[in-house]
Amino acid sequence: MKLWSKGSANTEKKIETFTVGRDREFDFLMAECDVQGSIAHVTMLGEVGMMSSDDAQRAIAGLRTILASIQKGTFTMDPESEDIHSQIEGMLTEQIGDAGKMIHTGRSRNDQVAVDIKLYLRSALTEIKTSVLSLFDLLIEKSNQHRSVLIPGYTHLQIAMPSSIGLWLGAYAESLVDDMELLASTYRIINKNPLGSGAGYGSSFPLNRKRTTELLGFDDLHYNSIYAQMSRGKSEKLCSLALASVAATLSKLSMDCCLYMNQNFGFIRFPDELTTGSSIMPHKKNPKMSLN
Amino acid sequence: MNNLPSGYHRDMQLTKEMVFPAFQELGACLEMMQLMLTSLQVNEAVLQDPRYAYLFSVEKVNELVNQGVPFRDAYVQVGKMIESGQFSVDASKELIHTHEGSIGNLCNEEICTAMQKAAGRFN
Repeated sequence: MKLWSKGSANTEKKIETFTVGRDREFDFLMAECDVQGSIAHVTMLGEVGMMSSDDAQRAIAGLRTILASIQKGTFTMDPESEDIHSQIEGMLTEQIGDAGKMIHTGRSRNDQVAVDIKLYLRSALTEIKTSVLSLFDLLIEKSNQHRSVLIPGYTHLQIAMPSSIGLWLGAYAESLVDDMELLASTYRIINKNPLGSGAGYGSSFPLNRKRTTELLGFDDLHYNSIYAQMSRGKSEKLCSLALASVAATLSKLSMDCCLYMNQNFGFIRFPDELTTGSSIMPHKKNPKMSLN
Repeated sequence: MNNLPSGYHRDMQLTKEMVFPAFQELGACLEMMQLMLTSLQVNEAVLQDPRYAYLFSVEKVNELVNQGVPFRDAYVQVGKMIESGQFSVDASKELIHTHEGSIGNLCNEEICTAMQKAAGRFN
């Protein structure tokens, strides 16, 4: 039974499989965000009187139980569920009865998913930020450590002027600074709340969008309901751009490593456990990690 | 996505298939790079190889300039030394590069400050 089903005949299985696509598998990653979004929405519904305080409390408690099961890794998706959102709402209704059927009041799956994606991207960007910072620190450390080790600098791949390991690695540290600028700008755009924009045209219910913004820790909200929906796609694109920028830095550094560890250059080496061999050439120590 | 009019479209459901795995992949790449650089070993004697002597041609030109030879004349003079096989480098001589971002003045502290500032914009 689908959320939007009004009792008509079941959707043909083939059509369903086709239209659902890979949603279920990727929805699973958003499970935690979906519950967090719902807790904020229900809290707000309780406060503005769209749900009784009792019902809201019970729904929140039920959602917290589901959240705990996701965090513990015991949460599973029913193969009959169309997506994570139907699954969670269905589980809640089974658990607490009719109050579970109220949580979607004044909400569309459109703004529900939009906020899930924002929450997911926000936390994913934060993780990338942490990893970038730690790589940055390492680059600076190694740059300082080998600041007096000279190597050739090249133009057109021909020897040009003296360079150093310190200058070379520091370059990539500084490249990560600019990548961080893009990540940070992306984060600031991602960190706005689309919840409450409904299907893209708002709701006649007196929703308190500023309250859900505050509850979910967003910096601000996407005010215009149409724009809030447009943020879908735009957010993902900006993330891709920022990720691609970091990836380009890593790619260039990897290529340098491949070149500099090449036997004709021999500027750097990596321990054997970081290299892979060849099936035919017994001497091989290939920089597989850099090549991938 | 760009050419769609405003309002919800099913296409919007397709983006996560591209972006979510990209985060995981980049996370793994960053981790691998971290692992590689941690065990980086450096050859400290690369420039002792005479094949790299010409790296110092500009140093030689600048040395002449410091002695009062106009740059263009110094350039030609060193160029001729190279052509005739007379160019040599005193490897024991220390390189003095002082400006910002040169081998003698990496400005890593300034780069760290810039990174702190950029990362600070995350809130």
